[in-house]
Amino acid sequence: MSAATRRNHLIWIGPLVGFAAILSYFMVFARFPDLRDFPWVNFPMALLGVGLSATAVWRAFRRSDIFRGKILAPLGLVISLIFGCFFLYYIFGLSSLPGASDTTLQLTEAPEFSLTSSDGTTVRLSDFQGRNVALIFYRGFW
Amino acid sequence: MQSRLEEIRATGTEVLAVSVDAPDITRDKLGSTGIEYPLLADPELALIDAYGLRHVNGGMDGSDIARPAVFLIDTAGRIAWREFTDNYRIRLRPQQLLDQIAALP
Repeated sequence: MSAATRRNHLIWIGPLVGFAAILSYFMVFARFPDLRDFPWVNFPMALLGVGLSATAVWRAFRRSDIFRGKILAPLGLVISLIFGCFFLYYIFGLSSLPGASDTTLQLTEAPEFSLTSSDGTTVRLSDFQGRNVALIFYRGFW
Repeated sequence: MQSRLEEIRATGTEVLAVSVDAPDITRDKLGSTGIEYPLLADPELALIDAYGLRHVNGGMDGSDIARPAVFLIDTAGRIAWREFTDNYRIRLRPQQLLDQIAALP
């Protein structure tokens, strides 16, 4: 077996693409409802990261006459798989909510409230008589 | 919702938002969002509980927060429509709300 001569760049490109898949989902694609609801861009990107890492492993072992990285390439594949699994877990597991409560499902009369608005004023439901009210509940900024 | 706010208001509908965040926290964060409708603070989760929306340990620090939901209240004070998601990534589109307002008697 001759000494490997070429750097196996896919070792670090694979995990980088996987990381970019996660980062760009939150920073960019989550702003577009269709791409947020189902990550049409970010799932293929995460898969591409795993694929590139797998190629790096294939190169390191099957083309070891050309490429280096018998230790680093498998490590890169593990990292890419971790990124991919985390993303899958976030999309389908972590962001899932428990079932809606009976109150949420069955409430018919809107309860009156008196809450402080972000501008400091007190707002009541009865302030808006004669108008419909769309009451939006947010998780908040924490 | 902000993007279609004028259209929604033109239908005779007021948009109000509720979260557990204190008014000053909301005010600090609000600037970057461009949201013009009132954001109401419900730190005791009184209204959130009245709608059955408490998400126990849902906050990043393990505190209780509201789960995302939208209720359309008609002029008679009755809940005409409700929309809640089972995954917090997936939210109501403004067009869905406009369609429901148009369908009100």
